[in-house]
Amino acid sequence: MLAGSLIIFPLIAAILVFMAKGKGARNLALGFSILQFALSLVALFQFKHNPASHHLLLNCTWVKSLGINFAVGLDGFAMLMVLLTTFLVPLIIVTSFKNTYDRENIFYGLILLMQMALVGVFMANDGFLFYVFWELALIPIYFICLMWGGENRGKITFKFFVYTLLGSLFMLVGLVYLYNNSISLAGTKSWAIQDLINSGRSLGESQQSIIFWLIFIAFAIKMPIFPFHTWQPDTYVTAPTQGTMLLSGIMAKMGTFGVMKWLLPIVPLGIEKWGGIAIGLSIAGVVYGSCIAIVQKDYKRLIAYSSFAHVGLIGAGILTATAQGLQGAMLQMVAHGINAVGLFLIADILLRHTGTRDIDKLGGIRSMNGNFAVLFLIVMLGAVALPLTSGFPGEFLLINGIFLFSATAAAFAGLSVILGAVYMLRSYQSIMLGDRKDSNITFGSLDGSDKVVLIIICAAIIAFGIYPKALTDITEPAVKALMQNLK
Amino acid sequence: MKGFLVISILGVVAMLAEIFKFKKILLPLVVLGILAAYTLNFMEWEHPFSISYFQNMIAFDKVALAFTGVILITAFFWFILANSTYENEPHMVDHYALVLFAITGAIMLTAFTNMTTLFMGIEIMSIPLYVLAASKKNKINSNEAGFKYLIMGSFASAFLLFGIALVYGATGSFDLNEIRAYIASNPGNMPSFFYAGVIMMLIAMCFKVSAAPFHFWAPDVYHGSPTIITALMSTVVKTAAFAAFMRLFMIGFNGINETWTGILIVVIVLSLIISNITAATQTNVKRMLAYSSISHAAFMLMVILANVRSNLSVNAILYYSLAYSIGSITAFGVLNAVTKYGNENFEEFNGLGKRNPLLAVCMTIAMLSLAGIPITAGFFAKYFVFTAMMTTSYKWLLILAVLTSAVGVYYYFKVIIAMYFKPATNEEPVEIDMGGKMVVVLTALITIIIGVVPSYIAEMFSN
Amino acid sequence: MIKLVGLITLFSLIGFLINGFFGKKLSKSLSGFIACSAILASFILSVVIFIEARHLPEHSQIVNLFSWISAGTLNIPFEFVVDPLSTWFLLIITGIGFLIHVYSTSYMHNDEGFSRFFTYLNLFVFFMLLLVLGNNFLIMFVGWEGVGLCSYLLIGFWFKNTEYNNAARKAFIMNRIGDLGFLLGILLIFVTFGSTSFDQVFSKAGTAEQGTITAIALLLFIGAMGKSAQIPLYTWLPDAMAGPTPVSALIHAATMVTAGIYMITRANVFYSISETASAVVAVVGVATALFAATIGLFQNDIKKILAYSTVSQLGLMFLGLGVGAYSSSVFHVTTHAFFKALLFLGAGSVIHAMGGEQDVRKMGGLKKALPITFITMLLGTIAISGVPGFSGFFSKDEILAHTYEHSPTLWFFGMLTSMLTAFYMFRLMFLTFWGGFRGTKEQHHHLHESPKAMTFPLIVLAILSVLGGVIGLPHFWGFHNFIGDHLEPLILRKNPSTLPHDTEWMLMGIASVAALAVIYVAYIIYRQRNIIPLNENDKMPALQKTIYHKYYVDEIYDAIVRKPLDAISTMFYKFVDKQIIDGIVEGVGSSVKGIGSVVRLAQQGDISFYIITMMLGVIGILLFTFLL
Repeated sequence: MLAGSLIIFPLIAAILVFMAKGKGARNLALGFSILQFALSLVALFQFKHNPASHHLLLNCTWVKSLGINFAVGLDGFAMLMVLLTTFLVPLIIVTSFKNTYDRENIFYGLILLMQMALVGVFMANDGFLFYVFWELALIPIYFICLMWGGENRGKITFKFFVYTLLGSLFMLVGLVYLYNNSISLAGTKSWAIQDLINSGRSLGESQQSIIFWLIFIAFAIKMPIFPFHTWQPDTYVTAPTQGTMLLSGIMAKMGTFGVMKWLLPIVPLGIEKWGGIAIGLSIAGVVYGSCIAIVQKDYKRLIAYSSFAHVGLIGAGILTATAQGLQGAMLQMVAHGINAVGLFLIADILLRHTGTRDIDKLGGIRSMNGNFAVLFLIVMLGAVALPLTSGFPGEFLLINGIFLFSATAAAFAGLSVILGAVYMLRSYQSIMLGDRKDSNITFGSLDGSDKVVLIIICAAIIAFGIYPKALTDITEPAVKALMQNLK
Repeated sequence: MKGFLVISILGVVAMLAEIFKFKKILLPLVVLGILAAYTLNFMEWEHPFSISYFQNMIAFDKVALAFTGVILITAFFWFILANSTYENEPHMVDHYALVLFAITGAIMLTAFTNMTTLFMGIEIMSIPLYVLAASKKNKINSNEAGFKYLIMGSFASAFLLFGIALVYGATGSFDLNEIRAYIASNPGNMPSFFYAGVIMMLIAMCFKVSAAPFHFWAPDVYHGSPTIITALMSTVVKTAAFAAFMRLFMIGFNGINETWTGILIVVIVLSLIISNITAATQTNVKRMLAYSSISHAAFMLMVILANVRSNLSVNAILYYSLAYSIGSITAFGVLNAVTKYGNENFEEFNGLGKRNPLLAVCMTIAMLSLAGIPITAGFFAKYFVFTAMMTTSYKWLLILAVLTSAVGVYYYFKVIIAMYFKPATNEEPVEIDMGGKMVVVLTALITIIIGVVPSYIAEMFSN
Repeated sequence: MIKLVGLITLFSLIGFLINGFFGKKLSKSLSGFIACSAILASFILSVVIFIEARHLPEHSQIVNLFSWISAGTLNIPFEFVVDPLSTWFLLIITGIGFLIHVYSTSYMHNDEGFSRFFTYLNLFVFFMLLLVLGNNFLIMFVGWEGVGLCSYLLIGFWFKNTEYNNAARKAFIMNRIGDLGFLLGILLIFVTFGSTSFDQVFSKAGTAEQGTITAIALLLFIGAMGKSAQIPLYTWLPDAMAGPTPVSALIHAATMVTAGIYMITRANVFYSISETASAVVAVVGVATALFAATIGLFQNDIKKILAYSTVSQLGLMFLGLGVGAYSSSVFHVTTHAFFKALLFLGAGSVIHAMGGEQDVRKMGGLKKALPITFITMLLGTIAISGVPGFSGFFSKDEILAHTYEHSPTLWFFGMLTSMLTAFYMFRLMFLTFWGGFRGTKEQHHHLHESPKAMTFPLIVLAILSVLGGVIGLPHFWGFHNFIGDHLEPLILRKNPSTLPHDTEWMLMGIASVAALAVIYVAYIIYRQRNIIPLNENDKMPALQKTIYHKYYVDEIYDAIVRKPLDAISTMFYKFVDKQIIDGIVEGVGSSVKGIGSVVRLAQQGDISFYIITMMLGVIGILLFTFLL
């Protein structure tokens, strides 16, 4: 039941928020999202107390004749991702307090709908349900970007939509193929994940290869992985800050999570045959994205590319199908999620205070606001994965996993350690340090809401850097189980 | 059967309205009549066996009843929608009568068991439509539409008749079941002109469902006819045509798939590509919908191609036609309201999100459904097609379907983008009468509801 | 007490937190006091633990704090090790660290970033302690990167100056390059031995095959190159002089830059097994030593001279490591920490007196004005130049002796280096303290000896520089070599000198004579002839010009690394991303439209055309069915 409420609650919340009037919507949304976070903490407590608790599972028939069930559950992976989602959404809502959007009730309602879909994606134990939530997550974010986005949003968000939708349609074909070949215990066809896994494993290598690509394309576009990424930078830049946060902080994780739960166990042979190439692409993306980030002038675009690079590393780590890779991926998903929100908030703050995000125009802000400089510094260090920040354990484990796959690959992936430092330090220096380049750019003290969010994020960055075990303890059993499943 | 009778009587009654001066209450009468027909139709559902009438000319088995149901629901909404258009129309009565007759023909098509009934049904359905298409007498392209429809339609009918004749010549019977039996009894050694006949009929049916390369009439006719008539064509007519198609080929010519599957594949591929690609370039929403209807036809044809022995195919087509009809009703309803303020181009939808948020939302749902996005009915419709196709050896068609439906998203979303993103050309809020609003909202709701709980329709023939 | 080793790090961490959060509110004296006392506390505790550790039965004890990272087979505890090596470095770090903190309270007194400075400094000490205390390579890596961060922050301490910021960034990124090597090394270690904890790894080292060990050793050495400024990753260190002088003394002379030596000594097992790796280390070391020394000859910035001398001295230490004289290198680390810190602080005192002037050409005759600075620096210079009896003499001699034993050629270059060192150091002394004052009037007025807080550390360090040698008196003099014996248990392949005593005597003699001779030459050139180095724009011989411009290495790096990287990135962005990939994506879309507009032409509204196509369709189908 608890599991179900995690999905139902945001839906109800969204509907109520839609009906709310004026400024009320914002506070209502914040309240609900915090409650949702509390709810997921309860779930975490249950999980810690008894991972097999029936409170964490829900399974009821949806379309009997088609073997479709509304089956959701919280294993270690889902638990962590749900926590991440419910933790970030309130923060994201708070970050919007200083922007003014028209039709706020729609805006916040859509955010909550988005949350519902995301939680659903992470919890779904039924292939069909997974697909439905997967698509549902696309609708709200599309409208958020379309209605509140920046210039040229029509074309860009549309490209984003079609690109990702095309990918997921291929996934649907792949899943239907698996479903069609599945036999549940009852002897009928079934969408239950375990049946799909069995069905996938019963296939030969050539078929598994086809399935692998059909499904992988969807995930690769979502993450995104090179060369399926060109929708991403434009969309991130055009979307309203909160949209960008949702996209990079959580939605990108749908792809990586999907690979972990819906690809690795289903087509082991396919992974064996094509995983290498997929890893190659991901790592190519890491280097490629980092390089491009170096020459960006718009700070938001820079983060967009850096986030593309980071996610590529996560993808590569997962595809190695090693315990380290998976564990590292989980850590890094959380770390990057938190970090991305921080960075995009900083980009937004810069824009709000100075009216520009152009790295060359900004400068000398440190001498105008020391505290902001420190917070920015911490977030940045998290992004360059300095030890004792949340970025490090994940990145280390990922590279470790990749190393087990191939030392050369690890060396290339490791380049992100250097290149990341290059673009992050360059931009930080150009924005914060030195003297003011443009005398009429001023930077006052931070707004309360921004300060709160940044401080929370910095605290999280350091806390998870010093004691990542808090996170790994949640996922450890799931990783073990998955590794067993892969053998 | 009773429902069928009610409708035909209703048609006759409608003609009298002018003379006996009860124009005012005609609409309520018709609507009630349809409801009555629906209930009667529904009551027949629980018959243990399917009853056939007139020496087995027509039989209302469950499949027929189900499709009749879809047609009646659509018709119900259509009439309410049409009201606003026909209020001040002098020949309103004639229109109603014609429409009712067309519906009668449609219902015949869902239930024929004899090829003569098939032919009659098609003619009864088509002839009123020829007239209705041209019903805007002073509008040149309305006349043009009627004319084209008539010419092309007659060609198709000719083919159909020719085909029937040949088949009769070969099998010596008009009765579907007898034909089927005959084919089964002496497999392989049918005369070649029999196959020619089958193919002629296939072509005729393809024309009726406007599948490429026999689709040329559709865009012009859809575009030229009054919007409300277009709505009728793309819902009731399509549903009926497919019901007929299904009956004919999945019951009648089931034994000899190999003769027609090959052709059908070509037709499907052409339809998918031509329709979607052309639709993407349209500037006129009505034309766009016309082309999109072709691609939807292609999807339904895929089911017939898959031709699963189980009831999966029937379910799929039933669900698809319902989802598509409902969605189209919403779309045309909104289109009808919007076009009052100008032409039928995409620009007309600019800023609808502000001019009338409710309509905008409904239109969005309709577009999402036609594009096949969860949790709308359109998604499940496509999903059933996928599952049906997965069981065949034509899986590769799915990839084409996927690619083209991604193109489909493009033109459906052009509308959405226009509504929410483009600045309004004229700011005045879009008005819509009570009935119209009700229809649009209701259909939008239904789209969502059967999208969330498809079980009822999806499992109608699960036995 | 050893159980409390964690406290040592905790003190500096607390100091960091206090200054970090409340620094602005605290008075300068208070925040300075907190910072210093934090380090002093760690120092005292270090001494206690040092003494205790000497009596440990198995020489080392592991203190496990908590499990840090764990995934699958990988499990990395947050654990400290207390053994001769770590405790030795504890003493250096906290001891020198304390002196420099005290010095800074006065040196930075008029800087508005006073508390921020001590925040960073305490943080640095914290990470440095992690580096040496960690019992596995990953904790070492944490400290390793942490000190890198602090050095970044402190080099760019005066953040308004773009040049300083660039220097800071350069330092961080060059270190990162090394760190990548280190990281890969750690991974290889983990993959090979299934653990990164020293005790387990080194005990299994014998089992692994030669090639792997060599690979590990070299990867680790790449890390050392970055941190300890060896060719080719040395160019950041001279630029790092942008930071406040105490920083140069603490981080870029005494402690951080010697982390590389610490690491290799710690991992001496690998290097003892792999001859190749050792050879590489030795060659790189001696090359760096000589290379940097030559550059030192023509520098005019007092801090730059010291910086290059540091690079060169580090090179010597690596030479020592390369030839297997681990304890000797650590010995040299220690003495070097004494006199190089002393020299930097002295230089700081001079700069302080000169009102920020760093160019030796504008100094001269300061010995009257700054007696204490002068005396202490002189002692430091003598020590580094290897004049018999002083600390530097013994440590350097030990290294050279081992080198000679290993390969006379390397010994020759080492010898050459130390002669050059003696020369440029005395050049610095003569130019700074003798002759007439070459600065401006007001500078001359302003000349003054530095306050107690600054001179006190100088004096202490001076004493250490003079007497520091006692910890490593040569065996063949009949003394027992304290540090040698102290570290002995950790060294896998001990190599007591096998040279006959007379050879050792000879080497020592040569060294002493050479040093004194070179000093005399310097005396003649800069004292008697009073030659003042040329200015940039003056005409100078090609070779000198090249050396004066540091062999144009920075320019070369710029040309072969930075510019290409930017070019490639721009190409990726402007061409590959925007044109090719996105072009394809967009292309698909537009081509659909294109085809559409063509197909659309069929729909002209011409009914006869429709019928014809329909007919053709029918005929086509019939043919298709009956002919095929």
